[in-house]
Amino acid sequence: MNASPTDELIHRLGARGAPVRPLAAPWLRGLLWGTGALAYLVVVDWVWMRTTTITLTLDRRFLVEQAAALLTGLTAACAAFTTVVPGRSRRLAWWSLAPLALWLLSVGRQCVQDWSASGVPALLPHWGCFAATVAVGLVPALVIVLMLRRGAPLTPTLTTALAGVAAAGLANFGVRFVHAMDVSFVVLTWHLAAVFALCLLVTRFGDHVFSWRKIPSS
Amino acid sequence: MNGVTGDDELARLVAAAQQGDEVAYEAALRLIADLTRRIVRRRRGFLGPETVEDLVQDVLLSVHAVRSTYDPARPFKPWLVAIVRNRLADHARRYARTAAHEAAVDNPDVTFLADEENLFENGLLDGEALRDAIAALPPAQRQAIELLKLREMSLKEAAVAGRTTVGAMKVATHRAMAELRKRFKTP
Repeated sequence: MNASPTDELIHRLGARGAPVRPLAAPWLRGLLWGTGALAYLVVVDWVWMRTTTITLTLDRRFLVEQAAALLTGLTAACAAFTTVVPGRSRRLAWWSLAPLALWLLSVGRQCVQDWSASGVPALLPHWGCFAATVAVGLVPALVIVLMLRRGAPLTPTLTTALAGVAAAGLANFGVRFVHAMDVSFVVLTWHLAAVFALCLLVTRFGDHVFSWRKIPSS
Repeated sequence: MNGVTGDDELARLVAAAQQGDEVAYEAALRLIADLTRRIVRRRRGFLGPETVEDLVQDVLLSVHAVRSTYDPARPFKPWLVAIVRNRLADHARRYARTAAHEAAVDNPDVTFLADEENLFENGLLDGEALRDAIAALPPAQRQAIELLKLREMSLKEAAVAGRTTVGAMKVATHRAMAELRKRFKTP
């Protein structure tokens, strides 16, 4: 009696059952990626500081903004790693909204204060901020995408959007230390525009990057 | 297999499979196929047996591809059900896309307006000639036609069954179809 195609497939897949190492918990992978990304940002900032004179004001507003950006990046990364594990709740994705809201509120509040003191500023081009955030964020974005590809492509758009927020959040965190543009309006427009541009860029390729992989022929 | 025992048994087998135990892996895949078949029938009772089997095979290939994402410390069924749900949704999307580009037509007695195109003497309608032509193809091309066109497998399944890659299967099919077209081209 001939075996059914499903039985044949089971037999063939069974013969290809090479050992695999179970993936670490999503939060652990998120932290691992975050640590690597921060180490990369330290190097970038160090190289940047050697070529530019930077005057940084470490006031409460700046620290809140930076803490919120860092938390946004890390929680979005953990949430992204959760979305590629079947059976895990996607509620963690909402957690990154809290630091993101805090980040936007912190920058927005300072904007309003600046406007009431000196009027609404003109929207001058600051392509430097934009390009620096996108360029610095590309390496962590590439790394997180590669790490996420080891998981299951259950929600490609959500996964890539979270990966984009994670990479851009940490990139902005790093760039703000060395890019002495202490004007909230510029941060709100050009830095956050860069964050969302990077996020959109990564999300644009979500369906192509995250798809059920082909089974190796060997 | 039922309830907690089934889940524990599957979790144990998949954990062993992750260590490279091929016997445990094949046993796990058989249990997964049974469980998937039941889930698909329950959720998509209107699907025919062949479509159900297609979905079961799709789920098996997906499980194989992402088996490293299963954490043996956690229950197995939620992990599997999430994959099954995802593959069912993909199938529904594929079906909707295909249906949007297809129109239902009657099965006509003739297929072309020109009389000469509907003659049984026409080479295209000669099943025996077609079988001979397929048999005369090089082995890789013949296998591609058999798996994809005669057994109606998907590219992924055909690649696994033929122990080759999806890309190689596509190339072999393209060449085989070109050869058959050339052979049956009316002068």
